[in-house]
Amino acid sequence: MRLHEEDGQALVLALGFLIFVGLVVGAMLTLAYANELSTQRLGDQRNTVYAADGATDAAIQLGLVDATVGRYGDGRCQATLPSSALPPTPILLTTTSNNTAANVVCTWSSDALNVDRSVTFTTFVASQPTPVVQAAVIYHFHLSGPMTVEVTSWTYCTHGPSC
Amino acid sequence: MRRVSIDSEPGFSLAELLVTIVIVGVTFTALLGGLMTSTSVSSLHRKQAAADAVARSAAEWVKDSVANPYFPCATTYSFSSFPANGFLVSIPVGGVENWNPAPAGPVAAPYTPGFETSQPGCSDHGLQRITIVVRSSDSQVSETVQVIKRVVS
Repeated sequence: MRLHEEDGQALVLALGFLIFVGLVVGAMLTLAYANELSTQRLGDQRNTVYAADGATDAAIQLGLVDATVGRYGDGRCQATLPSSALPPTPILLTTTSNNTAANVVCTWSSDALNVDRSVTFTTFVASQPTPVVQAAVIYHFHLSGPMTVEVTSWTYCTHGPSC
Repeated sequence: MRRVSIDSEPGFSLAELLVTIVIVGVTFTALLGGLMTSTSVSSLHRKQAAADAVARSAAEWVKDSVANPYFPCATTYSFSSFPANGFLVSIPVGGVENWNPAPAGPVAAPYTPGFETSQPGCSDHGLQRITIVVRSSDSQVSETVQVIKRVVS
């Protein structure tokens, strides 16, 4: 083998190495971008859940202060559970927390003769067409003492059973 | 055995070597820079993910009516026994807001509750909006989460 046939081999090797390193760095950058996206989505999901939780809690408390919320035939609520299509109307309550707006719709008690109110609150977050949280509560009326509320279920609609 | 003449390749190997050293040098510099950036970004993301987890735990901690019973007109809630995993968890001044004014009668829909900074002796209606800040010890990462806490009747 003659040595002058190896002319430029080092350059070829260096270029090959350069391409390899370029691919490795590209893969690392892709991974970093995926991490960044994942972190951002995690934060968005947290804001959505806490905004929906907060709005639902606010609606439950409103039902204690305003004893007409969810009463049989209440015009601010619906007779049946809302469908997933937006906009659900009428909206009982709207709040903003974590820079996320949440809307709560309710279903009124089906038993007109019962002094206790069984109300379901379904919370939508502005950016999502499907409900996020659904809570079923019973407001207990007491002849002596203030009204109390019993939360019978609290469902995260995107995890487990649908709402 | 065949003899190799040195005179037949005057200076070519040296030129190739120099070019290679330059290219490999530049490449390694880029590689090291990329690795260092990747390491620091990875560290940042790890802190962000950990801060998010701590923020969620802190939010649940504050909402928990057993660990932190609802206190009317509270101006803060304590994190003294909260496992913060090296993060600084706090409620900033004015971070607890009370639902006020509460409606006196039936509200018109849609109702938007108003919140004002909680003060001792305020008019409490069983609902508070609490802002929690989670910060890494080097202040590189900060997460803020708001929760609404309801009194458990």
